[in-house]
Amino acid sequence: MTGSANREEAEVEQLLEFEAVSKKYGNKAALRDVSLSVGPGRIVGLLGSNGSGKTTLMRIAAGLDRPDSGTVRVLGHEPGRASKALISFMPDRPQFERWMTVGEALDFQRDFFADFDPDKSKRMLEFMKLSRGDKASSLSKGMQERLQLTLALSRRASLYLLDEPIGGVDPVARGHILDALVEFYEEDSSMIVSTHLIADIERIFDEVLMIKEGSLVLRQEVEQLRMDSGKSVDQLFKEVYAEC
Amino acid sequence: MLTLLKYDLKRDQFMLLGGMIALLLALLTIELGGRQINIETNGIAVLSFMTYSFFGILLLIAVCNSFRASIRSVGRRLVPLGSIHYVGAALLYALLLSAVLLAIAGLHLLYYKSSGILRELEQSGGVTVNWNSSLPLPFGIVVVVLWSTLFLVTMLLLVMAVTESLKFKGRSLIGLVIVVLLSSVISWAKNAFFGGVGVGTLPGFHIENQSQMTMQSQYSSIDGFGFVFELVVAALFIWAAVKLIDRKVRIE
Repeated sequence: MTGSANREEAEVEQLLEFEAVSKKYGNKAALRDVSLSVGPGRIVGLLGSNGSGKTTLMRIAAGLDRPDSGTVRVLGHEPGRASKALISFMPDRPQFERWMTVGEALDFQRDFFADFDPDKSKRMLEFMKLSRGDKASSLSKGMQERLQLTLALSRRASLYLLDEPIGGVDPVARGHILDALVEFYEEDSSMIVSTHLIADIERIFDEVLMIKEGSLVLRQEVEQLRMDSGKSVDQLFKEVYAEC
Repeated sequence: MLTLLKYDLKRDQFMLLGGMIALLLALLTIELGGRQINIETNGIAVLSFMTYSFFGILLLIAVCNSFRASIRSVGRRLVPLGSIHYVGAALLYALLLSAVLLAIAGLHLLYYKSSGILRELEQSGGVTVNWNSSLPLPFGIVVVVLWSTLFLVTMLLLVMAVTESLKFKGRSLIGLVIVVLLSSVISWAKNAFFGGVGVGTLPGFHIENQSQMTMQSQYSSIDGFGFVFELVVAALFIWAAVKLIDRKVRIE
């Protein structure tokens, strides 16, 4: 990153800041000394192979896990009650409860989050072809991913964290989910999308973070990356993770 | 806290409804079936009391399961609430279910009173009430039952938070051992400091044999320092449970 970019970054209030964050599960290091920051109005791709530390990074940012060392700030707040109100996290597994219908899952979001937008939720339900009366746990994998995304994007949050939003869904559903991301993303917010399926999604990224074995190995603007390397993000990803 | 409770109740609504129907059917069977096969009134009263106790245990299990599901659920843990809210919601849940159980028992008692069965039980010695507390009897029983349930639930919530923080197998067994240890330590402390006041879970009630039970206010801890002691211990349990939820409990 250039010096001017650093200065610009310092001037803008960062939505998310990680400073020398490390996390271990037993003897396995999930994150090693990770430092990063994300400013407003960005769509950031968090790229890495399975087990590289993407989910751990997101869970720490969302306040679900605590780092072993280092500091995390969400708009200046430590992860906790205040940061949870600012972040909309879509985990890689269902966040709705098995007994809920689609409508009840949305009502749950409405009841707990002040930034829940009922109009946006209604539009998203139509866009995703979901019905409020459907039992959430009976939906297909692709439809559950759509519901998860609806729950996350129905809020007007400052920061969206989407963990593998297109993992395990067919290409048609994948396209639909990506269209929804672009359609319902709040432009003054930022979005971090973790994935290892780069080809489908790289068109929407402003910036990419590549994480490997818990360490951040690359952070760059997508346009700059393409110009410097003459390759797509997908091609570069395959090179970086060739031996994984 | 109340919103969490609302979703706890929605999640468990069918189980709770089923439980209530099962309780009513069990009580009806004891009352009507007991008379059919000529069980004495004393025996029927003891059986009914045991049925309430059994459903009281089920109530505790329901609250513990609900608490465990809440503190491990990613959806619940993402909401902007402090960990104290999960504990508070579970305590309110326990309070609500206990109140419903007490209400059913109260109606049962009213029926006994209006039909003269209660007097018959007192005269035959089937039910003995020695009440010396400053609180009036019906109110006192409600307070004793609700407080004893709350106190027990705070301990169980702490044990659940401990077991959900562990990352190895055999957590249930460890939980059981902790319950026994904590109960023993509390009983020992009460014996040592207050001469045995409030040493049981519901210390005022005793079933003497299959046709005799007593309620003695001097063995309950609703009056005096015993209550203050339990209040302090409950606060410590809640504090420890909150710390564990914040720092150690694994979220699915």
